[in-house]
Amino acid sequence: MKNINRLIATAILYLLISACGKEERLMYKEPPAIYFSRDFVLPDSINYTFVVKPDTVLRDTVYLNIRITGLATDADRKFNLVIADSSTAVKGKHFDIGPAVIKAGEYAIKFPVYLFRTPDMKDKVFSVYFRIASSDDFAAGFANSLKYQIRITDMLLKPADWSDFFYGAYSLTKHQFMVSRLGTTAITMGTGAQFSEIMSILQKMRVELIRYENTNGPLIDENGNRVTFPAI
Amino acid sequence: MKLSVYNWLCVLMLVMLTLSGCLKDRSNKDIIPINVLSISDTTAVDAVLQFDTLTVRPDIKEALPSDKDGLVYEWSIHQNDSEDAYPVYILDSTRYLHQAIRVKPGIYRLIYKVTVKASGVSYFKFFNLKVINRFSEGWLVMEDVAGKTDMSIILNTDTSFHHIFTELNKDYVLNAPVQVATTNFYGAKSVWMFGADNAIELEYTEMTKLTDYTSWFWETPPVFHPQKFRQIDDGTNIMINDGLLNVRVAGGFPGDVKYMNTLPFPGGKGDNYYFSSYVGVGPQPYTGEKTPYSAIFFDTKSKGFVYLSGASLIPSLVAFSAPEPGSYFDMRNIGMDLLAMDQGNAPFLNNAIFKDNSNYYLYQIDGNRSDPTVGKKLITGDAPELAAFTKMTSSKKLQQIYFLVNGNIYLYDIPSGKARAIKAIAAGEQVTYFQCTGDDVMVGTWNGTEGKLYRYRISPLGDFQNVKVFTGFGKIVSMTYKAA
Repeated sequence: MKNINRLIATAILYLLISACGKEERLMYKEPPAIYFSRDFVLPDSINYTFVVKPDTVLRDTVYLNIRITGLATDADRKFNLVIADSSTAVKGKHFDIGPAVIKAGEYAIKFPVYLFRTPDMKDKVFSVYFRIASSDDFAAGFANSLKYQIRITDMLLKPADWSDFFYGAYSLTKHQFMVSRLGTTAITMGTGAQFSEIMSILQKMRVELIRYENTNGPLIDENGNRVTFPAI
Repeated sequence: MKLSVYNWLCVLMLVMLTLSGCLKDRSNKDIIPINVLSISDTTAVDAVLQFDTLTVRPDIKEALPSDKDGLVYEWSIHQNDSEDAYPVYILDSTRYLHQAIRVKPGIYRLIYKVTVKASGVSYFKFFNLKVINRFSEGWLVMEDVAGKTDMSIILNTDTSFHHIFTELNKDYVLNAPVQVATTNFYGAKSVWMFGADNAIELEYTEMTKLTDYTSWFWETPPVFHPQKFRQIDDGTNIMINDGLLNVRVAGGFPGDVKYMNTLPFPGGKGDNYYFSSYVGVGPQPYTGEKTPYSAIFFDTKSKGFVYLSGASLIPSLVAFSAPEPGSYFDMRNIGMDLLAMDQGNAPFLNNAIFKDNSNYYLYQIDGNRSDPTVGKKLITGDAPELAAFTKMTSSKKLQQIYFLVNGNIYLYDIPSGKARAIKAIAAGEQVTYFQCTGDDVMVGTWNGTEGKLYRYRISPLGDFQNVKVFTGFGKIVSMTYKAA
């Protein structure tokens, strides 16, 4: 009996002592990587148009959301942001970027891309394709998050859901007139307007067009037709 | 049996514990009987109308009778139908409760707390209480009180309650009242209050402010001077703001619904028009009626009518057609100033009074006829005294119009063209509101210090047969009936 008690006491003592052992933490041991941070509101491309900006705005900035995997470090690290050869936008003319660096202590950055308003954007859309490649400091991250496209223009593109029923026949002149008076490109449900808002836009355009014509005469579109808005 | 050291220690501890229990109690604690209360009640009610006085007389039985100052009372109430944090309102500190319940309608718990001063012990009695909306149905009376808006309600019991707007919206001031209105959009009811440069929506039951006009438009008008608001059909509101028309159309559309930008005047005039504040209502679209004239407006610039076409997905202002042979007048070109217009004795019939130099004309417009011109009469021909009229309202049952002329109410018979005075306004009172509602003519007056409302019941022949007078108002500006 005495031996059994001693055995039990020894076992309890062992368990107590073993509880004091240092825990081996489960740590991230993969090499650091980098990728474009995306979610539903940060897709893999952006359309930028200067057309809704005042004529005095000659440059603007958009930001790419970039994240790293692994731990932040106490030193700056470079990443490799490649501009694909398929890009039609010219670096230094249509856009520019700063140094591709993740600063010490940071896990995510908003990487600025500087866009320049140029005369050739009045009738063209320029694209720049970014791709993240491996560098000395970072491997390329998630395969489906390594590319980003920016489309830059100073013109409008016909919304895919443009309805002749509401606004009449489409023309670029009419589109530009609408955007200039509304201060937004959201004129259809596909571009961000709500149905009741479309009713309001139509009323406003009918009034604005009369104001324009009273001062300037009829507004003629690129096809030689007079711009009108229907009375539904 | 040989005891181990461990067992000896256990025995020793038990002995010490036993001995310690034999110590003499030298404390000064004692068991003193306290006054235990028992609260019961048979007087409380389960429900009370908001602003009614609630009386509760609970019975308290005391184990040890105390003097009248031995107990401290507290009545409080808190909402009991919300998971959110609720405030507790202290109602009174009296033996019995006899207080007006001013909390908003809802389910509450009434708490009666009685504390015995001597012992500090509190006893509670809880009551479930439903506070019912007092203002569910009745006439809302909008008043001007020293330039600020207030509102009263006259219940169907002819009981009136004053200052309900300022009482329920202590933190909000609406300047210079213009109009009060109610709407019912497919069951969603609202109360709307318009001031000279502002407007708000009230929660229909609680009558507390919900929104203001800045959230009602897709593009808030740069100038906001609301003149007239009206719901013209189940899904359409119109608002004349600073002479221009804004329309809100609801009905199955996805997304938010707000007022559209200003509707353009037909004929390429854009926003170069200024509507009078009188609106004639025609038939609803898509109901098999005869015309698209869902609402009729008078432009003070062109001195002609246009209509709001309801027979389209997006409403538009449209010009009337040229007059037909036999038309009484040209809707597009009246050529006179519109002094007043009111719905007549048919749903879409509107009686409009125009002035041309010293002549006053009645034009009758039926919004349910393709040729809406149904009558034209020189009213000052046989009734020259009407030239001095300041207000008019049409009978909703007979071919008659009530005119306010120099402190008298005249009854004008349209077929005969004759008018006669039927009621004199009390001396020293100025009429601020004048409207026939069907069975009654409501006359709001102001004597410089107090507003009164005279509700004249109309006889089958159009005369006034009796009157009910309500007092204690500010200057009455607008009224509307609030249905339950």
